[in-house]
Amino acid sequence: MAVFTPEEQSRFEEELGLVLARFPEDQKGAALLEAFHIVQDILGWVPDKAVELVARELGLPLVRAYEVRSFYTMFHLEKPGGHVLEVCTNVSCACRGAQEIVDRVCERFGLAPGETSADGRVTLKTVECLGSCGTAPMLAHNGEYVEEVDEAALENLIKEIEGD
Amino acid sequence: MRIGGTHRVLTKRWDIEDSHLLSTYDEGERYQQLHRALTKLSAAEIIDEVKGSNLRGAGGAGFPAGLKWSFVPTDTGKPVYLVVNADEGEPGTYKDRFIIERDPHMLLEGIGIACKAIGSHKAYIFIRGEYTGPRRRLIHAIEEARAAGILGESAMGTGYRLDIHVHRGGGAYICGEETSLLEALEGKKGLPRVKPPFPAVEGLFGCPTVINNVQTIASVPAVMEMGGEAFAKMGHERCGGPHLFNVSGHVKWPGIYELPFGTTYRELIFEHCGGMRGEKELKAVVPGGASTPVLLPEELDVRADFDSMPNAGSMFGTGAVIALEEGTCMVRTCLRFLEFFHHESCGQCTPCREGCGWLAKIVGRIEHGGATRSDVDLVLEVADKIVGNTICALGDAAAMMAPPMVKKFEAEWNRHIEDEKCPFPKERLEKNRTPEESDD
Ligand SMILES: Cc1cc2nc3c(=O)[nH]c(=O)nc-3n(C[C@H](O)[C@H](O)[C@H](O)COP(=O)(O)O)c2cc1C
Ligand code: FES
Repeated sequence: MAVFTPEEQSRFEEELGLVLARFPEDQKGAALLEAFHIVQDILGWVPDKAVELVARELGLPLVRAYEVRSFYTMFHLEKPGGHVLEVCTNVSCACRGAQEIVDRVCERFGLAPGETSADGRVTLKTVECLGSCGTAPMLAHNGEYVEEVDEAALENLIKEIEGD
Repeated sequence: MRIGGTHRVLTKRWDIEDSHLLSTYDEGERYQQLHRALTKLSAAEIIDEVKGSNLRGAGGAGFPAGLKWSFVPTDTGKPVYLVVNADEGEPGTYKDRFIIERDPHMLLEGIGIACKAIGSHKAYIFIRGEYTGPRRRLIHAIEEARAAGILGESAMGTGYRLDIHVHRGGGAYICGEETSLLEALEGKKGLPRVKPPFPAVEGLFGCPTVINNVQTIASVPAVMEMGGEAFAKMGHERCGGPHLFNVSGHVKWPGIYELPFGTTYRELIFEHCGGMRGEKELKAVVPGGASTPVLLPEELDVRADFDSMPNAGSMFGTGAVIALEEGTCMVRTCLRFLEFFHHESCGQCTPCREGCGWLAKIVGRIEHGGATRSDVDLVLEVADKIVGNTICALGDAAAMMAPPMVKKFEAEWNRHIEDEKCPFPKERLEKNRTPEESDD
């Protein structure tokens, strides 16, 4: 099966072309991380088929593409839920109650950190500092930052996801 | 959170609505310092001005920026690259994100001036992949600057070619380390390189490369505008200018405070940040990010700058100040940092890969139960075996952070072992943030 639909394929090619234009002609491999980001922007994750496609496009050995995908934590190896919650648990967030965010999300959606809920609705990840320590505690909801989380804000977010 | 401080140089436009737009930037006098650099100044003159400003690298190590630029060879026949480090991953640090969000054109102007100084025509801003919002801002700013003819084949009509590209990282703290960053930018795993050769001679694609932190580069227009000497005078001794202190933890007003180097941590916390949030006293201060040794409340009169902090047994780091109140568990704090270093170790050097893991494991059993008395000494011993035995400073950071956590709070560590559990309560979320704390 093809990795992309025809529309997705042309978006991939266009965006990858812009990235390649940044680098010297003999340095196509430099586009690798961006290529995976583009795949993930389109599909929500980076499946094996896409790794093979990217390696082909950039003329790289397959093993290089695989090792890079697994080295960087942002690339999802499985299709995540519709709502990806990444809760920062580093010290500035932890000292203002981040663990309570994690515990509540686990309880309400019946999952553990790193898991996707059985209904495929929510994926929870605990992550390291996201550069939002002055507005701690925080989480990223599908990549967008939710800052200064208090009990009320957390409850609202959970309800919003439950109602989706 | 608050934006404050006494010397609003880098933050001068941050309170203006739409401060990120070109139309706001410098109102009519846009990119004047870049124009001057491209038309009136030689590379050597710019480097001299920056050397005289005592501008220090804001990414953590404090290397003098002008000196770094002067190391770039000009006669290799290869292209020269400027790489801006926007990977910002040091726990507690968020200043670069705000520079990018609130004043991206200041950063772009700094990039242009730095490029002229080192003879570069191409700059890459390597931004951590999680910064989606800041990245959108940057891309928009670059598009604005290109459309206005500030960037491109002939920057500001001067004939000097200037291209700036934004490139995303993949979520790895180690890629903030400059040579690991170069590997990532080349599309590889972020394994730090052995130095020498230094990037100034052999960096990106084997070409001469200068790598600077976002704040370092964003300071350059101010240096050029006020002159190196005036910038140097604003700071303290060999640390020129103001710094963006990023404060977090249990202070009343977390936020970014632009203050001169040499301000004391006591002034920062008690005068600028309003002291602690509630009734509880201050217990400990992590002064410059996870990599910097902790300070006790009685040690806060040390001046916050790169050269004074080593005398207090710590480091300035990124100016990421995390203030912790009484009741915070220091074993748990140390554990969170160690788990972080263990998770982020690239795995290349055995002492770091294994050592950070051992440290996290030992401290984990001290926190959660199952430790023996000798485990406290074991932490110090393992840490000692890491320092100085690795390619980059990640392992050193873990190994220098942990021992003071133990030594300065020894009774607390012993109590964990005696009780076979953590004696401190869990941290709780606030019910509703008070309006004061949500200020700004
Ligand atoms: C483990 C590690 C992580 C680092 N992370 C960052 C970072 O996120 N941002 C940064 O600017 N510098 C970081 N640095 C410092 C860089 O290696 C380098 O010194 C800096 O980017 C140089 O720029 P400057 O001289 O302007 O500070 C890190 C260093 C180490 C050892
Ligand atoms: S510690 Fe959570 S965003 Fe920095």
